[in-house]
Amino acid sequence: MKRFHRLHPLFAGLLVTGIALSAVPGHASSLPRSHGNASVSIRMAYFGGPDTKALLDKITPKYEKAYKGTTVVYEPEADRVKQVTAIAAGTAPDVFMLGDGDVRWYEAKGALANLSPYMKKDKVSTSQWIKGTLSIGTRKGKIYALPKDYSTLAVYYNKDMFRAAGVPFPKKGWTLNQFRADAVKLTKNDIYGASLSGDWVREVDPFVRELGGHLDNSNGTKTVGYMNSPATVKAIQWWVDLFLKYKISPTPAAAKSLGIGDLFASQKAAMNVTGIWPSLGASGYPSTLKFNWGVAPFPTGPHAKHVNTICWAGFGMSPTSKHKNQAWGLVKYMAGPVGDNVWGTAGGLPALKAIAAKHKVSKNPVSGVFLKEAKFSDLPSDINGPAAPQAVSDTLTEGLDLLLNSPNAGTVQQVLTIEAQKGQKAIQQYNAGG
Amino acid sequence: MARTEALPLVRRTRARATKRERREALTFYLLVSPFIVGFLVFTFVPMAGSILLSFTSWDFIHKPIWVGLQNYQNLMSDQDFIQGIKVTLSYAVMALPTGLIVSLVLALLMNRDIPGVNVFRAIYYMPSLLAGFSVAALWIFVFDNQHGILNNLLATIGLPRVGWLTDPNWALKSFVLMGLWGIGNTILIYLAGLKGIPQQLYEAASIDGAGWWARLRHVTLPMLSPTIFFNLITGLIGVFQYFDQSYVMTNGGPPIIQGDQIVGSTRFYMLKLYNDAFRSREFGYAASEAVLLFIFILLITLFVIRSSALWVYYEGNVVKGK
Amino acid sequence: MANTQTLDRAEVVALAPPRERRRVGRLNLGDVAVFLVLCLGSVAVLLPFFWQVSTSLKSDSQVNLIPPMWIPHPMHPDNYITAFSELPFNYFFRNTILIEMGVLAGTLISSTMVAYAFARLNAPFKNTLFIIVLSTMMLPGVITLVPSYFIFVKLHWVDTLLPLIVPAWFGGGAFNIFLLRQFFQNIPAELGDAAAIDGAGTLRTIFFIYVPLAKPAIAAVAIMTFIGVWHDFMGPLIYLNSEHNFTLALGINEFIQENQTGAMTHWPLVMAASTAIILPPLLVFLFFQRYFVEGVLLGGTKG
Repeated sequence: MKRFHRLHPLFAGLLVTGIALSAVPGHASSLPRSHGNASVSIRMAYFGGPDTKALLDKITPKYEKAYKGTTVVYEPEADRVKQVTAIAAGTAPDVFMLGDGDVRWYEAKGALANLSPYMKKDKVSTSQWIKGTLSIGTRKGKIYALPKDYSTLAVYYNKDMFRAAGVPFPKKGWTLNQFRADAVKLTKNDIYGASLSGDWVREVDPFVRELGGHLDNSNGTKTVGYMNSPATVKAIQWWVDLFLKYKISPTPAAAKSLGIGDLFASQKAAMNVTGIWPSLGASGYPSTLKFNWGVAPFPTGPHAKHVNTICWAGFGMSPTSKHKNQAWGLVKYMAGPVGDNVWGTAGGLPALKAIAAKHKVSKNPVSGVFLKEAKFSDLPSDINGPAAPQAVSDTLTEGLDLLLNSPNAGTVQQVLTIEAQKGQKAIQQYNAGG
Repeated sequence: MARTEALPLVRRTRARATKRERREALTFYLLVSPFIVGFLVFTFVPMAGSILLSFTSWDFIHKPIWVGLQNYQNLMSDQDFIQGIKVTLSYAVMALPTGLIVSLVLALLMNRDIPGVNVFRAIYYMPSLLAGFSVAALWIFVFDNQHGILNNLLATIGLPRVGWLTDPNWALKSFVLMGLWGIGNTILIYLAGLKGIPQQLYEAASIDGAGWWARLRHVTLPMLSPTIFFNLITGLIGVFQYFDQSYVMTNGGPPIIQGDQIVGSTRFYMLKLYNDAFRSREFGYAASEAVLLFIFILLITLFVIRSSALWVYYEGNVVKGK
Repeated sequence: MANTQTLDRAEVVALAPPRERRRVGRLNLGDVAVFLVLCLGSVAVLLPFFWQVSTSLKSDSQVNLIPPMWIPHPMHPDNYITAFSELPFNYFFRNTILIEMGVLAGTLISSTMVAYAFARLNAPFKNTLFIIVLSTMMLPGVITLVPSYFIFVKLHWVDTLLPLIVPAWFGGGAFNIFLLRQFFQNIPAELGDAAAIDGAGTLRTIFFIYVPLAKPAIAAVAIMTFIGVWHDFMGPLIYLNSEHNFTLALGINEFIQENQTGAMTHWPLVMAASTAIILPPLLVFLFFQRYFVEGVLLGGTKG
């Protein structure tokens, strides 16, 4: 009987611990206890990992102090699957951090509480926010989500490279054609004139709009007739030419493979069209770049048409929250002066005029450029409607990947027609779901 | 026949048999009862719920709306759904046999008493210590066009670089290659199966003068057939649900034009299902895809089980039969 | 019966196939070939790992070099310190170990019992029931996850470890039942019968006859279960809300995502975290591997 005695203690040990574990419901006590005594806990879902949590920790103590008897319970990993599942089961957190792509859908489905009455009651005026930062959270004059922080798009440029190539620095009011011409001059050997995503619709969108095109209609119910309209086809052709004809930027496939690093940071691209995020944090551009650089506004289109976009995160409140006043209080702290100051000092763009002024953002050579672009921000095409992320973003991304990756597969006209129809189908399917 | 292969039929005298059979059945159900309870509570309800939801339109938030067979009808004209079937089937046809055979060969090699065999087993198992997303992160690196280890190896020996994940002709094959790297669990199970073959059978065969091929053919493979059967069935069930890496690494791309449609060359069935469920948040529609997948896998599995009587050999039963 | 179980090492060697005894004297050519093939394969298997470890020791700028740097110089082992210090190991680790123990115990006990019943006992509807066992693997998890969540909400188990542990005690998973059934079925039935004649109950037969004889299979189940739980992401993600209930897989994922999003992907940190996280499963594998060293001897039954 010697042979199996070796496995035996292992089994016994597992058995005991297993039974002990399953029998002790100790962990069940960590369920939020929201009723009973006077103390209320407010559950807040967030994303962004430990860095974000560290910032949250600067806000919640002040909130808890103001709302005596209320404690905030963080719920990290505000993942898409998790959030809808919890909403479906009626266990949605009281307050949640939202990405811009989710706001329309949540609002359309009634999963976000209307904050306007609370704002009115507490005399929170919408005019204190920088123009453009409230548009994503607003629908038909009602506010469903307030901003955490945001970014517009601008152009980082390598001053050393510009000087070496004898190209004057880009300045306010420069045009798309100048952008392209500069990039062409700066492109040589293994250096690209610009680093463009190629298939990131949020970045393509303002180019298309400045060139007179549209990806969908303003409430996101139509892609056919917009994404494949002559103006849009022309604009996308212009965009595709940047990569295939002028070769000023690597294609998405090439960029993905080079994308292990940041082309601009590694001095492989003279310009970088992107948001404020590369300059944030300890490893951001200001503290790590070893060359001279600057930030220029987004280039202007024909007929002086200037359009920018917005990337945004915010806070909303669940309509099923049992403690709406406390939950609203938390939203107010997160998105109001207390929170905005924290997001602002972390290097992001504060959405409140007063906080932006306090941090002298408009004088900052980096963030100031992004701030000044905010007034040109339209609601991005890929979040115009509740189905737009699929109907506009997924379809056009696929179309651009095809056009840039397999140049001979089809014409811009052909590809956009197919993708517009795909988008229309996605919208129809959304509508059929009521 | 599936019906009889699993049954170690014990027949003594007729009268005793029924009594014994009854007691045996009782013991059976006692032992299986945890599974039955667990199944009813934790599995049946979610399964039934998913099947019911497949006949509805449900957005997670409002009450599901009964739509009958509408979801199923819509699927028939859904280009991405059809592409999902095509991609998944071609992946299965490539990945399943290669995985089963390569892992069997490696297990046979590692079942020998050679120096350092434990080290080899550990090495070949190492990829299975990684999980879906880490595997993806690692292989994005391996497949990378400029920095990737594969292309740099190719470049060293003077071959052109390959767009492993960006070339529509390669992307799916790259997943097959990556799958081969992670066959540690299959090898492990084969090894366990090989260890379960009584040494005496090999002795007897050797005494009869059997060489390695005869021993493989007449001892190893028949005795290993239940393990092969296991790996085949579970591999089958798994391969049709391939998801994690495709989600992270290509998300369905790179796209290709097919007739008057644009489709993703790695748009796996599960990827489409996941997107319908959690990006479009049309859960009923996704559930109908899940149900069709379920029926498909069930039919294939039943077919394999039926065929297994022809090639799966259970030592225990045969002894009984004598 | 007992005598078949108490063969000691000397007898094992004596019974070993002639091939092995021949080897003592001279080099076996077949073995040399196998050794070389396995070495070659190992290189292929280890290359991605080599790349992972090499990257984990680089700085961000070393990653970007073309042609790439195979062995980083200078090395940056501090990536590991950064990765570790950013991960709240304390309760993530505790929670993961609690789940591991609960699931391992439940799986091993429960699946052996069910597998034995399917392998050895006869009962009405047995084959139908077995198809049901298999069918539980066939419906995609992301779909059943949502209705499952509703059940655990009703049970008030959300944000506890229970949804991650308790189901393992009810059958131990179709995969494991199926695997053990295959192995039990290959064990000569006389062994069990003999034990029964000796007056051993069914449970004794299972745990004292079948489990020892299927040790490699049990070890395989243990290894795979451990690793499955170790890396399980979806389950903890859905069922756990508060950070103090989180598992390592969630923490690592959070860390990886944080270092992957934005313009800069900090590959060295990502790779350092991915390397560190596989060390405990590797130890578990090495621990259980000893059950693969020696084959199972059934002794006289085939006489």
